[in-house]
Amino acid sequence: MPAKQRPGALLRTTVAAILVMAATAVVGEEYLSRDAFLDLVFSRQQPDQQQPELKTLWITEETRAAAKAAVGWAPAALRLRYWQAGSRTAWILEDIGKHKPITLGIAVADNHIERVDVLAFRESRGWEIRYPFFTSQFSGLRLADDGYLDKSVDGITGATLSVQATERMARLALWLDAQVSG
Amino acid sequence: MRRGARLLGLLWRWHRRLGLVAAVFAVLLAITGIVLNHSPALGLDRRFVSWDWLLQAYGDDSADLPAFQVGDHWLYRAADGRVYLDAVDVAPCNGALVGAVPADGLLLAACAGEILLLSTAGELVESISTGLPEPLLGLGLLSGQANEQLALQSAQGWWLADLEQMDFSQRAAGGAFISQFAPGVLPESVRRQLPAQPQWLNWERVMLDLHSGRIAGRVGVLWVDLVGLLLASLAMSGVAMWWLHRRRRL
Repeated sequence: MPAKQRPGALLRTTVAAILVMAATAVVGEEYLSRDAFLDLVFSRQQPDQQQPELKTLWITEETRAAAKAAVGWAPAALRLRYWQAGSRTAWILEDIGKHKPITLGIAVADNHIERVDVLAFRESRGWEIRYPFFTSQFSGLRLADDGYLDKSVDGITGATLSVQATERMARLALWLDAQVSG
Repeated sequence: MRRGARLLGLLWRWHRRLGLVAAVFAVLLAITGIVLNHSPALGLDRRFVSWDWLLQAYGDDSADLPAFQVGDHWLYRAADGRVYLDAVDVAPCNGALVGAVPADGLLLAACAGEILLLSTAGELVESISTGLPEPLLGLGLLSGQANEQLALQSAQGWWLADLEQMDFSQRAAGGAFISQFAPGVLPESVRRQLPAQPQWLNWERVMLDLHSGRIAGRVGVLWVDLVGLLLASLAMSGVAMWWLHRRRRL
């Protein structure tokens, strides 16, 4: 290639790289599928692991009132599905951040949270809650007597409502686990 | 030195061209960014859009509510994103309403990203938003067997829906007969019973969507990404030109 064409080729390469980077910067709203979450929680791909059973929890008026009294929030639906293997339960919960619902997968074992994953995020702000630096703070947390988590979680500037929704769902998952685990 | 001059000329030409392309959008990003920084003080989240053309651009089709008649009931999704059974507010639903069918004494409403199971009294029995073949395009009943089976339509085809096991991964057999309810227009008698729709589109959201490009969908987001990269490349080409020019003068 003649020397005088090199800057043009360099420019074309740069523009192509910019287009590729821009294309990969567009992210979908689903970050983790339900099945991928359940695989993470229950190691379903490993045959020696106990496979989870899909169960149903009916939310009666009494249950709803008790949940609101205990953690300040209850799901609107009459029934919730969850997965259980031994003392470990997995919940998929949804709550509004500011305008749109956030879908979380929460695994609970022996009255403490094992993991929190953001499965889908639809708000235009606050998506930082999906990163492990935030979700990993929930691991090991329990429900305190006052209905809040037993340790505080560091918030994220600009994502206050999403952080609050995550905490609400984490508290509810712990409370629901206590109901089904006895 | 001649090579440096050629590079300087090339950089200058492209700096000027890319600068002209990016200028309009740079101003738009700057203005919307400054406005968003002061959004609480300006009360943008409490001021609602009343321009019909902008509301329609956001998919507000409240003037002509698409609805599904299932038995004696009408199911529809209002502009605020909530599904109504007749005049009863049931629940929010993710995406446009694409179908509704009766099943096992319940009513099922499918939105693009969610299925709602309702009682005939308008109680939300369950909402399912994970594990679905999204985006959903339709909801139907597969006939020809002992029992009718629920089927979901996506761009890849029809899928059997096992609500007991929450399994939506099995494809419907080719040539299966699937019946669907056709969408209609909500009758005036039901429309009159509707509560006044709350205002839902505030100026903060419009500014955010302008700033991120989401106002034009995924293409808009891609375009704003590109503008961001263009601005970064302009900064770099500006520094390179300054450096080359300075070296020539020394």
